[in-house]
Amino acid sequence: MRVQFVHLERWMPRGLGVAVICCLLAPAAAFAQPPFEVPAISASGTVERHPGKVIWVDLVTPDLAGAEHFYSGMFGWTFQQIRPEYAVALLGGRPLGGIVQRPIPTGQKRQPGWLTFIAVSDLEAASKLALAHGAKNLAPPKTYPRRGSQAVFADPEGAAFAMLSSSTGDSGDYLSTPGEWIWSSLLTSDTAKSADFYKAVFGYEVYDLPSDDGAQHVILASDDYARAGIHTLPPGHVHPRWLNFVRVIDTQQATAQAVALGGRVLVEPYVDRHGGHVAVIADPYGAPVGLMEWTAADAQADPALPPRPSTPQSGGAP
Amino acid sequence: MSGLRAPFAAAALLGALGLLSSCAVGPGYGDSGYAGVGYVGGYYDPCCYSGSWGWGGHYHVGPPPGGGPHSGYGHAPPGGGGHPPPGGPEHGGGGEHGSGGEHGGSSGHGGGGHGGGAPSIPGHPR
Repeated sequence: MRVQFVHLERWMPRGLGVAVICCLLAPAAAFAQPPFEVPAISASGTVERHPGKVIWVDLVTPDLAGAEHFYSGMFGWTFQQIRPEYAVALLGGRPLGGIVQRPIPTGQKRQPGWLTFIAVSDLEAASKLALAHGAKNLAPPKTYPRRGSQAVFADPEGAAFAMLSSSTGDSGDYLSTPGEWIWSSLLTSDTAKSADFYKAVFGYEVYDLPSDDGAQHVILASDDYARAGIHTLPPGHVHPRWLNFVRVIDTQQATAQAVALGGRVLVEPYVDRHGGHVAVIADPYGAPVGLMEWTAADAQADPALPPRPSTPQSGGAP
Repeated sequence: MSGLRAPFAAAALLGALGLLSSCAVGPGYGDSGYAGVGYVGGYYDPCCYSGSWGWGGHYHVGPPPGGGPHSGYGHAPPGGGGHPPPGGPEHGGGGEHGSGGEHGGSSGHGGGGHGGGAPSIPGHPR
């Protein structure tokens, strides 16, 4: 062996040889790691399906610890570290999203943001539909032990979203508590084209809403519930994107808290169509997050729905 | 023997370089969507915004009020159809887009939608 190694050095420097060996061993080391243990989407034990429902979100950020500090201070979230570069955000013990740390490539301008995961029953079939209707696959399907299968796409207008076929079913339909995600909006350049795309892929019912702002506003619904909105990009915006909203008790207080924690206010609080205030903030790394009040008057109990098993609460949104 | 080692070393080098490049290159749209050892999630948008988003007031992004599917809003009729758009083609159900430069106006996505107004978000508390 000693003689062979000496001969090998004729063809490459020792340092390069070590690098080559390390690179060849790296994939093996990666395979040796335990599987990526992301939490199940539904822990209820009843496998209910709600295709078209937003059931997960992942933040990509260059600073996981900094993001945890911000969102903990904003919404009372706690975090479970899955890997050095991935943590699950929880509220009252319930997983409500993930945070992915990835460096922004040097010299590139990238926008941190929350990736929206929409429920599908059959990822393969939904993927084919999406591609047939003009989507672009950004990350191919991958299956995780407790989670299910997920893949990332850009819709025909360029907004990134993910599809997730949960192996434990989808979370039930309940009014979000403060600190939980409550609503999702797609800001896009062509609302009609986008509505047709999402309807074709997820089977939504599509409703146009009256507008007095010159923009088009559309509601996507499934299971008789509004799941998301589609809105004409506001003036000055050029890049279609999904925007997710966290329920808060007081948007004024929440926006002030965001600034105190190093974030920015992108849209000052104003009264939206449901009667409560809405605002948009950016975390310290630029990821936009919507804030939405939902008043008790709006949150009428629906007797048709069964009560959800309660879990201990901790923390909460301002 | 030394004649065999040279190709071996070259092949190893090329293989290593290929492996390195495959790790480093994503699909070119922001980010590959993978994290660490292969988690599909988290995605850098390709471009950015700056300053205020500049909307408010009448630009409404929220769901309709009601806290449920039937609270003051009629449920969409089965099969949809709804009210036809004034002077424009209906979306969905095979309708054509873009004729006349319009997408059916502000209504008319059809195919299961427009009977009695949009439903709202789930209103049942935990």
